[in-house]
Amino acid sequence: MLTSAHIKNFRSCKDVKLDNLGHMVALVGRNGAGKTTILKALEWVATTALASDAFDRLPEIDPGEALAEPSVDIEIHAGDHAYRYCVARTFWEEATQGRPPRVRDQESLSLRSSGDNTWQRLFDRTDDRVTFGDRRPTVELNPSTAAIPALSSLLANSDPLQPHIVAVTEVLQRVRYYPGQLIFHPFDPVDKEPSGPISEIMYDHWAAAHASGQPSTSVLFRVIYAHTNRPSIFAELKQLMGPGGLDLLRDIRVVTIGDVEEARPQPGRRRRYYDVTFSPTRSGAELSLDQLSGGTRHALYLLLGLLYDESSTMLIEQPEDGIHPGLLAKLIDILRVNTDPTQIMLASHSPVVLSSVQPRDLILVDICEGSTAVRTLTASEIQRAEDYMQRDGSLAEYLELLQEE
Amino acid sequence: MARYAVLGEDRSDVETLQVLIRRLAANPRLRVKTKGYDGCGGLLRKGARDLDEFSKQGCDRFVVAYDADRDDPLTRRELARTRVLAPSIVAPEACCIVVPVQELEAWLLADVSAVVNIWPTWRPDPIANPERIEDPKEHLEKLSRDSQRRPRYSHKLNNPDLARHVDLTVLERKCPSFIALAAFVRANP
Repeated sequence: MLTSAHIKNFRSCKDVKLDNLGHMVALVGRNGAGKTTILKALEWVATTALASDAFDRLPEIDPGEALAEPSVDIEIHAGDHAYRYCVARTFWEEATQGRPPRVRDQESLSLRSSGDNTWQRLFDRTDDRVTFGDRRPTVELNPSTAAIPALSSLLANSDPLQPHIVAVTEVLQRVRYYPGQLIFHPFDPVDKEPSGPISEIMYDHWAAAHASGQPSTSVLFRVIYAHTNRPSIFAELKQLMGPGGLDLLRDIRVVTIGDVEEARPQPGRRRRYYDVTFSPTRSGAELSLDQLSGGTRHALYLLLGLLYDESSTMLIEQPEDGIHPGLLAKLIDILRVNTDPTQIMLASHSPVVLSSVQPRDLILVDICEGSTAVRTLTASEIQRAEDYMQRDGSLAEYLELLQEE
Repeated sequence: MARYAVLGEDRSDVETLQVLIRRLAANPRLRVKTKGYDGCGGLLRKGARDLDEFSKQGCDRFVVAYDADRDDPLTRRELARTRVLAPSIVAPEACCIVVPVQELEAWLLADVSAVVNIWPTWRPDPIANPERIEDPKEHLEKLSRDSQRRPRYSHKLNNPDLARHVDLTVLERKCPSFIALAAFVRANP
């Protein structure tokens, strides 16, 4: 679980500190205040920490912003230990004609055990050199490779550093960002939702990428995989979407169409296909995914994120998109009861969402002179919020009264 | 320096009042917190609770705006006093109840020439008695229609902007319902 983050020079987050993050965190604030930027910064640090080509790219930062020297420093709790991981990019030579600016990438990982107040440095990395806190020899890495995956491969299983690498990896690889709309990466053919029945070849290709750790945003492929390999998750998804839960779908079917002769690319060759259909509660039809309403697709997407992805931290953008307020309250409650082990961090404008969280879970996000600023409610504001809600007010209404003039 | 809180029937009303209060006080940085509801029902049900919260946040001057809407302004004033001010912790002398006749948009009609600051090609005739217009908002929308019959004016978008440009002396002369607010703010800058 992420327990704190310090974001510097990441878009509008010039210097933003988030402390004492709990299992449920709600970022609230006006459009453009920086809520999405905060979520994206957390996604960035988690993916950068584990990417083999992390420092060849800064997917969310253009070269101009890279010159601002972004850094994100996070604290993670895993078991009895706390870890601090920091990634920073500093530039040390300006661009010249024909050559981009030269940057220096730095990472560090530190450990603090339960009951201990001091941080023990596990490793420091600057460019291609990794030094260790236990004075073992320096290791040189490919400058584009993040240290954690490289060390995970290099170190023996018996190495005392390895369990910490594994623990941090397990948390970070399950930090997932869920955008407000189903957005598929246009250049990632693996994750593009197919139309029509899905061939065995296409599914196997997706499954191979998934097995190698590549996260997936595809609803269809994950439903097929759950149906085939994780029946308890498939059953729970149906139950939550069904009449006893959100009451959106009375059935989800995955049918294997076997032994179909292909016309192309090789006439005569026989293939298997998977056909996934969804039956809305108040309709007799069986529909494909793209025929479902946007709200139903969004609910499916979020529940798959919760059940299938087994995220350590779900970074959720506007869960209310396309969803009726009455349904939204139920969906948020499903997420809320699943906090611990999953941490839920969401950005929202919805009064329904805000009514579903506690005042202490809120982070107020605002923007001042182009810089994002965050704060939590003070103890007296929390007390007044609770008094206010006792007088038939909602948390959303109370927050509106706190807005600066 | 006073710190204001304004309650009104909707967001555009309170944002408009925020502009007018700052102009009356001749202080663009005057602190004015606002709360608009989804109609007068919300104001009457929740106004006292929100006056209390604003008071706890440090506000010391309050304005409650409740449109007359073709009702007797004195009846409306009394309703606002009994349902919003009296149940709150706010002292009566710290609060100004304003009852625009028939709606706050009448104040904008008082100096309708101000629209030229937003729509340079729209130059309406002056309106002598804006408080006699039954539905000032609708009247403004009708007046604003262009040659394609499309209205230029939207109260939610444009009221605060118009309030920046209306002549306050004209407003005071043509709209008696504005005088109470003007006197209150000038006495409590």
